[in-house]
Amino acid sequence: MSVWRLEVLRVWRTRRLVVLVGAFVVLGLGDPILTYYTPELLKASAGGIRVIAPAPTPAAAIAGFARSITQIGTLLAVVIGAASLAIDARPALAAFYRTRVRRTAVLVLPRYLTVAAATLAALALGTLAAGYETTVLIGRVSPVALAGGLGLEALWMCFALAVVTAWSALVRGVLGVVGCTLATLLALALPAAAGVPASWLPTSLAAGLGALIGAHHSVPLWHGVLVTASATVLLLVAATRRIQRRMA
Amino acid sequence: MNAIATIGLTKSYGSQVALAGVDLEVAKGCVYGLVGPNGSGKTTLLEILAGLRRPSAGHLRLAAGREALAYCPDVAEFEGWLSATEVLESAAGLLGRPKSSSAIAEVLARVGLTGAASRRVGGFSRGMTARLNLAAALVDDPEILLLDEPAAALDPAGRVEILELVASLAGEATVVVSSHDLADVERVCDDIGMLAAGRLAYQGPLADLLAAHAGRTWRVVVRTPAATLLAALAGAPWVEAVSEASPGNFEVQVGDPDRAQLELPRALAESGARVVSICPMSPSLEEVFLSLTAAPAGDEARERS
Repeated sequence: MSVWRLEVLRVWRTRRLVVLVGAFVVLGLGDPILTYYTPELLKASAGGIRVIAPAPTPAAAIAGFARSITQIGTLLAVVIGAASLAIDARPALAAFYRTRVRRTAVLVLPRYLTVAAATLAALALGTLAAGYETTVLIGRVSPVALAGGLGLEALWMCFALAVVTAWSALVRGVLGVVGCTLATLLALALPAAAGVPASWLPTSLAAGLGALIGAHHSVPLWHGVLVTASATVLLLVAATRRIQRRMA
Repeated sequence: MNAIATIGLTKSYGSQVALAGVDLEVAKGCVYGLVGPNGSGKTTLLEILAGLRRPSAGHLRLAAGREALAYCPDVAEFEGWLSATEVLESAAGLLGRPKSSSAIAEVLARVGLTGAASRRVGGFSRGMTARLNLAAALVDDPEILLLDEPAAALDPAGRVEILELVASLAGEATVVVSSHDLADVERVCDDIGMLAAGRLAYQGPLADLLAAHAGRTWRVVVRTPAATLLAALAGAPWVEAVSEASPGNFEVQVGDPDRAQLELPRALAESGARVVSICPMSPSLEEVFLSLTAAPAGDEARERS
């Protein structure tokens, strides 16, 4: 059995793919519905107070979905990624793998790419669901903007999983990897506070889908794309080297 | 020719020394038993040999490449969502040496897991997991096989079965077995290495070790009364200890077996005892182990030339 088949079996038999797809599709179907019914919900809960809510727009519905996948989707991808990528979390199992491969990149990269593929498939299905639901309930969504936004969110997810891989090279336990990754992703907001242009940071991609649909991005996103893609590659290279060298 | 040789292998964790200058020599094709009390460094040594730990100092020479070495940890773990067959397929696949279905079925049969071939290993008992652990190593056709307590989780019948399998590997592969159970080691190993506090207290053929310690305990049976003999033996400078198991039935421990062969008949004659029998007792590996590991290990290190 090749390591690729092993990793495909991992995401399938552990139901990680089902969980990812299920969660992203539920978010994709749920957020436009929530946007559509928000004015009525506000009125129903106002208790006699007159509420003036803006009419639902496709941009608001997709922006809501984008926020959900940036928060819940990223959290889910990080947890599932850590469960696969923390190679040394179970020492006896790590011995099984490590004594059979010359280079640990043979283990790490298929795990990364399989989890990333599963996450991107779930993200694509969720985005399609969000686009369909929004079109049906509220109004037409630009397919080009939706595809562009999907690409940005996909790059963000790849980056988040690369951070997971990097922490897996430094921390052994799954919970530790999850905690350190989330702390790192949250800390990405700090450079912006220190004056670094926000458009250069990977976090700009997390909001990319909403920005593209709403067409309210004032600066080009390619800076963020360039930085995030480069950081993803660098993190993966550093992580695989570190995991290769790591011994007790 | 040695399949494994280490020179001054040392491993420290901060101030704690796990291995202190171990010079291991494992002959090609032999079954080598690694014994020692808890914390003596057996697992650390095996993990260094397997490439899972880096030594603090010293050198390691293997006659085979890493891909020809298989390691079975004492507590094995596999992906619970794979079947036993798939575990072996992945073990062979990771090494880049895929195996046919019939070859995998043969290995599973060898460890007694034919009936569980298609079962998910997440539901395996500890004993079944231990068998699978050995199968995952055997499927790789290793030249060097490192087994850390391979029979620890098995019932008596399974223990015998697995130990016979390990013994049958002699010549086919070089096997290093660590075990707490000295009877297991006595049953399957040609050579042994006795670790105590990170040092090799003895290394060499098991038969030589037992022979070297033979003649240190003698059973002497005389007709009663035998109080004179007991007093004579208790006062003799070449006797380390003497006990009377039953009236007229003595167990005499001596420091120097050669001297005992001369002095014991003389003491019996001088005491006027009516001798029924005198015979040296064969020591068990356990007795030898306890006598070697109780003393400071460093000065007693003896190696096969």
